[in-house]
Parts: sequence; structure tokens; C-alpha cells
Amino acid sequence: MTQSDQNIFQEKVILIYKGEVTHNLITNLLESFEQRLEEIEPERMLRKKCFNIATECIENLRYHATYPSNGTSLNLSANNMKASMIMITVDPDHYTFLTCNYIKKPEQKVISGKIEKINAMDSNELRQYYKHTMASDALSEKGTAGLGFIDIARKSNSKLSYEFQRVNEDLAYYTFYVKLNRGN
Amino acid sequence: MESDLSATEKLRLDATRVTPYIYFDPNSGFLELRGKSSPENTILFYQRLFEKLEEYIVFGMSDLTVNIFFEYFNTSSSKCLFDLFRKLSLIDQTGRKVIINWYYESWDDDMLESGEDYKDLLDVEFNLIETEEEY
Repeated sequence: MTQSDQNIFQEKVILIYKGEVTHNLITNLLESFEQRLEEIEPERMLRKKCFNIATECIENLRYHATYPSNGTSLNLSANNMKASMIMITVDPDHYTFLTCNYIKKPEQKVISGKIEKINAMDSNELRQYYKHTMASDALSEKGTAGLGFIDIARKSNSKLSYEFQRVNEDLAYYTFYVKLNRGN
Repeated sequence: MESDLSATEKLRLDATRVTPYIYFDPNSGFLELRGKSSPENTILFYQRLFEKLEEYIVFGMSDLTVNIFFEYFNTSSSKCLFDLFRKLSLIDQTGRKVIINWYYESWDDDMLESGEDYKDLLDVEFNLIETEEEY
């Protein structure tokens, strides 16, 4: 068995959800996640960071996921068309947060631009960027503050990873993940 | 001088799973927020408090003490809190002393850091107070 095979077997799924994301569902998911964290993570600061990161990841899905319309020829079942997904796993060294959702093609550039900018910053620069964004930008009509990725990067103290898969000329499937070191 | 009646009415909102307890007494000059904040619609949730504070900017007479005890808030709420503090700064700049007390639990470095971020951005007395209390 290789090292990476062993890592997979050591990884435990502590939250997985696929489907449409609504506010009530987020609240219920996060409550059960919080209870699960109480059982597996003795360190309060880490429990709180996990909860923070999970919330921002799920809210990203609620605000930014798009869904293929019925008219697209993707041969998807009704369930798969609402295919936003979040999975949170834990191994002895890390928590891993992974989200997947459909986005409109032009969003690719916006997302990669934001993440690359954040990944190029050290912790002090991130802090200044968060403060600057909070103080200068108004909330969007959806109520988003443009702070989610910066907050995830600050709380996780890790680089953010992403990839896009082409779906058709209008849509892409977007995967985002970030790790939180348990030794932080 | 008599204050406008609407500016003297208290505001009290009980905490829910996703919204904080809010208590604002314009007569005694006291505001408290306590708990968690990740409302379904952040702008709508904070609107009532913001309206009360806008009345207070015009009609409020007392100095204000503001106690903030947050266990958790999402990034959308963090922006609304900044807007709240900006309104409070305006009250301070127009002659009524405002003191903001930001409470954080001793183990919670992230909540301390958030408090430091606000303090750094605002020109108002902003105290960071470590506590053993759980909210």
C-alpha cells in the first residue's frame, strides 16, 4: 500500500451534502457539523476555524452556484442539475473542505483572479486586504461582502485551490478546496 | 429639550440560531449585541437597528456604551458590523461620547484579531476585553 493509499484510508468524511443549498438547510447542516466537531476535535480554536470555513464555503454555494436550465442537453437527472456539493474530511493532520458547483463561464476569470490575488499575499497583506475591502465596498444586492475567500485564507492560513471543468459553451463545473492544518 | 418619542423607544430582539440578541436603550445610552450572526438576509436583519441609530444621530442625547459579545459572525455580518461602528463613530463625532467594548473569549485569537481590525479602522474609543465568559 502506498503512502497516498494509506492517507485515503485514514481520511474520515465528517460532512457531505449534494443538492440545492438553501438558508434553512445551511443552518441545519452547520448545526450537525458543529456537534460532530465537538466529538472529534478537542481544540476549541480549531473547532471554531472549521465552523467558520465551512460556513463561508457553504454560503459561497448558496450565493454563487448556478444550475443548468432544463433546456441544456447535458443528460442530467433532476437531482444532478442541482448538483452543488460540499464535503469536509479529516485525517490526523488536516481538515479538508471541498465544494463543487456549476458556474457561468465568465465567472471563471472572476474566481481565478480573486483566488490568485489572495494566494499571492502573506498573512499581513491578507489582513490589510480584508480591512480595505470591508471599509470600502458596499454589500452587494445579494448581501455578500466580497470577503469570503479572504476570510477562508486567513482562518485556514493555507493557499486556496481551484479547478474548472468545461461543461458546455455556457457553463463550467467549479471545484474549490482548502486545507486547515490541525497543528495550527 | 425633549427628544423625539420614536428615538426613545427601546429595541429588543431575542437571539435565534442565526441572529444575535440585540438590546438598545436610547434613554440610558446602552447598546448590546450578543451571540451568533449569519442571518438569511443580513441587510434586512440589521436594518431596524440601523434605523434606530440614525434617529439617535439626530435626536439622541446621552453618551453611548456599546457592549459586543460575539461567538461567531459570517463575513456578510462583519461588513454590517463595520457599518454599525461607523454610525456609532458619527454619534461620537457629533458630541456624544461613544465607548465600544469588544469582548472576546481568552482562547479565541480570531475574535481578538477581528476586534483589532475594527479598532484600527475606527476613530472612536474601542476597548478589547478578554473574558472567560461563554456567550
